[in-house]
Amino acid sequence: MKLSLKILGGCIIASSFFSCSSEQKESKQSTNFPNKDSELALLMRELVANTEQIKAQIINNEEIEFFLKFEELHTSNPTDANVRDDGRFTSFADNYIYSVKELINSNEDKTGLYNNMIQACVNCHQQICPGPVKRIKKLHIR
Amino acid sequence: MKKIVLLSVVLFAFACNNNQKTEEVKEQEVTIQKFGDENITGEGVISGEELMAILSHEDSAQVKVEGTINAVCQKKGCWMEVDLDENNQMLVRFLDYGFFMPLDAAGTTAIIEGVAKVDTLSVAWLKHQLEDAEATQEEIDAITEPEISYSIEEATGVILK
Repeated sequence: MKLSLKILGGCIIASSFFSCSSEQKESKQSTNFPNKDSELALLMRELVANTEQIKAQIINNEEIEFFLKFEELHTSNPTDANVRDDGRFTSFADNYIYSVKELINSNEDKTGLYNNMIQACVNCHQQICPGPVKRIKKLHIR
Repeated sequence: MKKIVLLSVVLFAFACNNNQKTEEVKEQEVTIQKFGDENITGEGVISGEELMAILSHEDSAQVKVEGTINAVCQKKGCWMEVDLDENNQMLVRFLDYGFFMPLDAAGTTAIIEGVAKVDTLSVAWLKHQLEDAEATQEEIDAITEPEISYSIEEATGVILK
């Protein structure tokens, strides 16, 4: 009798285990950037991270730490191989680098110079790669 | 006693049979992939038709909607178009440019979470655009219905399955 009850209990547990496991699905967090990134795309992400840091440093009146690879805009391989063909990218990149140097070298109106730098990013992206414009505009100090 | 033993055998057979079913289901299981918000689930998901019904009386709505991807940006995967029904599709872009879709995701079923919006371009506006573009009168006269576009501009998370 006791043995039969044990068998019965075992079967119930086994059947409930199998019926539960059949409903499970495997899930995984994928990399958020599943495609091959170009050098320029990776550089842009680093620039965004550094710009977030600079924004916080200006708001908090702290010394600014610059990411000094910004001049690599001219040499990093882009996602779209033709992006430099018509000269617009080079011109926009020069404007951006100029605005970064203004921010580095001036001690006055850091907020205004910082926003000029962000606007230089927006101006380029509106013409060449509009996808991240909304993200870049969030970097402005209001 | 005999009845209990018989019942045990039946239940055991059922468990074994269920085990076979489990293996069959496992063969059909798909590995889902998550992008953006890692806590996104399929709970509360609505269909494309249901979304269109909501947006027939609201300008926007926070939703989780399921549909088949019909196109993905082929440079970076930074946008996708998802079918809502046979005639309507929705443009989806991703919050803060913070995650992209695999370039080969077209044809995959996606659950997208975010604020969905509907924009309607009136017949008058569409005709005006064509006039500005110096379209022919025939092309202008062909516009008889407003253009409705659906979008999620800043999806917070996506499940691909």
